[in-house]
Amino acid sequence: MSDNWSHIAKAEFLAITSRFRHRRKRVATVLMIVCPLWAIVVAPWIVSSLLILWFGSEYTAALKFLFPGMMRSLVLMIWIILFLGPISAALQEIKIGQWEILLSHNVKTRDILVGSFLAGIPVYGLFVIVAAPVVLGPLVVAYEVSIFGQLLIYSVIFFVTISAVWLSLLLGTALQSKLGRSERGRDIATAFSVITGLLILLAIYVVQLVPAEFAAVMQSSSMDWLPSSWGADLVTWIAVMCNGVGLSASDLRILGSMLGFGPSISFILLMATFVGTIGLALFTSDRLFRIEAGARTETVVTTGRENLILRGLRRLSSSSFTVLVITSLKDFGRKAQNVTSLGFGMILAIVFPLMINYSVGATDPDRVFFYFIISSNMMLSIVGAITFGGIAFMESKNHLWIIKSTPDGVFKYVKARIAQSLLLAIPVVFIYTIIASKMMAFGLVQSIGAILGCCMAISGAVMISTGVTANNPNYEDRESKIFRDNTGAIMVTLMVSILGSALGLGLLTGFENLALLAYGPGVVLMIVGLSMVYVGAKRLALPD
Amino acid sequence: MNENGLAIQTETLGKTFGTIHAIRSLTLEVPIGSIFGLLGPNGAGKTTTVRILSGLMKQSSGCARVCGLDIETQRDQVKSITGLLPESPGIYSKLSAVEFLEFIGALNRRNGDSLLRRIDSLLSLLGLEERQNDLLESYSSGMKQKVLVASTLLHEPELVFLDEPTSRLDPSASSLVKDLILVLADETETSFFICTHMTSFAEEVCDVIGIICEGKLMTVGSPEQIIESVDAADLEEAYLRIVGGRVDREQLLAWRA
Ligand SMILES: Nc1ncnc2c1ncn2[C@@H]1O[C@H](COP(=O)(O)OP(=O)(O)O)[C@@H](O)[C@H]1O
Ligand SMILES: [Mg+2]
Repeated sequence: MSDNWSHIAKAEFLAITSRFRHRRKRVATVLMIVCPLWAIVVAPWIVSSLLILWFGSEYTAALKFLFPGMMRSLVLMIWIILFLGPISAALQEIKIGQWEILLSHNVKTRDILVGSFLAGIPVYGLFVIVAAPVVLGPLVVAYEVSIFGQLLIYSVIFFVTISAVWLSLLLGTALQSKLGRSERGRDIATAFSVITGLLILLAIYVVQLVPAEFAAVMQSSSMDWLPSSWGADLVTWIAVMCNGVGLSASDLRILGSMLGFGPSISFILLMATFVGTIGLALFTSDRLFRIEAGARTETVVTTGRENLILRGLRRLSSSSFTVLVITSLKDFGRKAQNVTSLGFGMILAIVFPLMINYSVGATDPDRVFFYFIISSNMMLSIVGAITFGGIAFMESKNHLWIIKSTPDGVFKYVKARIAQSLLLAIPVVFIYTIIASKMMAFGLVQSIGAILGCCMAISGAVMISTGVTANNPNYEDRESKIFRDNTGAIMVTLMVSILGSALGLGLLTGFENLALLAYGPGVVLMIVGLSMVYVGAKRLALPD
Repeated sequence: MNENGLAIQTETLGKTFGTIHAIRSLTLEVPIGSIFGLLGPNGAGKTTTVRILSGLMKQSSGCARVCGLDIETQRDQVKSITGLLPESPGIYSKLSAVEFLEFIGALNRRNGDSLLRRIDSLLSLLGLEERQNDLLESYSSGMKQKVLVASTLLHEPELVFLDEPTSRLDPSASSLVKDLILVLADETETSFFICTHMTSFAEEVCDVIGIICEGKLMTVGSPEQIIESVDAADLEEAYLRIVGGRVDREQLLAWRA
């Protein structure tokens, strides 16, 4: 093996830390002082104060036997986030184009793997030092784990972290090298990344929603074989062995029965997995998969006859605006990530009304309706903004030049985009409201009102997200800074518009007129959306 | 419609990006029906000039009229009678060539059967009819360039801006584009404003050439006039003399020392 990997590691590290490029040394020194202080003094102090607040000073007794299951859920979460997260990110934008230059210097896939892994280690180390004391704080505090024990615990966590990262990198790279060869594969990769992203969210959601049930499931003996459980059990063992509270023999027996394997076996299993994955990676890379500059496309997709809906649209109107909307629909529908998000939105629209009890205990029908509209507004506007906003607004600056070089082109384009989004969003809203109205036993008037309120919310959200993106167009992918800035701005605008207007209107009218409070936020969203689209399109159309 | 017979008229046009002077005091007149070539090295300011003239960018100083229309106050009219081929092809990857051209047509307020007929004939002229329903993501950059050339001609503009039209095309495709330009200029009143760094292309196609370097227009004239004015053998030599591109052999290898 050549030493290419070390050059790659260095370059990647410089890229990762480029934000501090003039202050790398100073930042490192500060971190070296702050981090141990944080981990050993500050974080445990915060955590113990919070524990006393919640459980009283007897918290050790209250928590003692909850830890084994809790640790397993926590470590599993770390695993899921660190394992699926990078895969999701890597598949979002396949980097083979950037790798082409490395490949032209005869760099092995293995070098790229090892190089990017090593470059990430300081960052993950930092992550562990900052996050672990908070997450593991209750355990450390409750068992009064000695400093030495804490060091051991954080090392185990660091170890779990980097083995998750390593495996993630391996799988991500293998998938990228396989899928990156064709345009179709890249579509699949993007769709897959959206799904993994949602899986992570779902997992976090479940853990937060039903932590006790989740911990109970994690404690069952079938979970003994999950690699993350070995790390978790090892952490609990260390805490027990280095405890400063004097656990009784019977305590130890109960705890031991809750944990899967003994400390040494857990340790060996954990080690074996790590070494095994490294061996696997070094063996399979360049053999089973290799990063290479692939053909532009494997399959050439030929468009066929337009589908029924598009032909119907053409029959309805043959104006040039219709043509723009149809083009926009085709472009949107042919991108796998859009279809995935739309499908996900559809599933949410069906599942949400079945799962959520909107009434929050209220019985007054007007109040129930108000709660329903407000929570639906929030859910639908977020889904609408994520599905139709930001991403792939335009593919490149040249794309914008082409549109700009036509008379009034930007406005036509933006209008067509909004029409396209609404054509897709409104049916989803109908499905959602109809199911919800059935579940909530709304009458006809309230059902129509629900549809109206939800349509206003999603139209407003679509316009807000289009406006924000037009104001600051994003030509890249979900990884880019502009995209993140825009998403943040969109979410803040949505929440401020909905909650702010409900609160403001409530304060003005003394929270009496519930119909006003229910429809007000939708109207406000529409007004904010219209003005943001106007400003955004206006600014996009300005000559440079 | 245009009283003085000029397709382009600029007066001390200037553009700065911060401290960079992309173009300086550009004064130029291009008569209707002519094929004007703006010749210059990379970074000379050709793209900037085209963007300003086609209404995509604001000049920092000076003024300009395109087909008698002021580029600042009549921007949308300028856009509807001009076509622009941007520097590098960036087009919808998920549309087919036909769908993309329909989109551009619709942005220019054209639609219906006449548009589709025109798309068909342009695509077959450019040799793309067999692939015309394939998604553009599978096109080579030369093929995309051809689609973009078609898109600039779709709405029968009076003036066409082409920014490096042949830099990605193979010899036969670029000679096709050359012929297309010559025929269109001959048969219709269409004027062309072409940026290029290729002297041979400029020599073969353009009736008037302006050489630009570091934002300054160095000279304007027919290829023959320019060659004569610096007493060169051909346009390439004249160009190199004017922009000062000759570097002697020793200097060329100095970096190896
Ligand atoms: N958007 C921009 N921001 C800053 N500088 C620019 C921008 N566009 C062009 N320039 C600068 O203006 C000069 C002329 O560029 P350009 O017109 O693209 O040259 P050409 O097309 O002749 O190669 C270059 O120095 C370039 O760096
Ligand atoms: Mg240029």
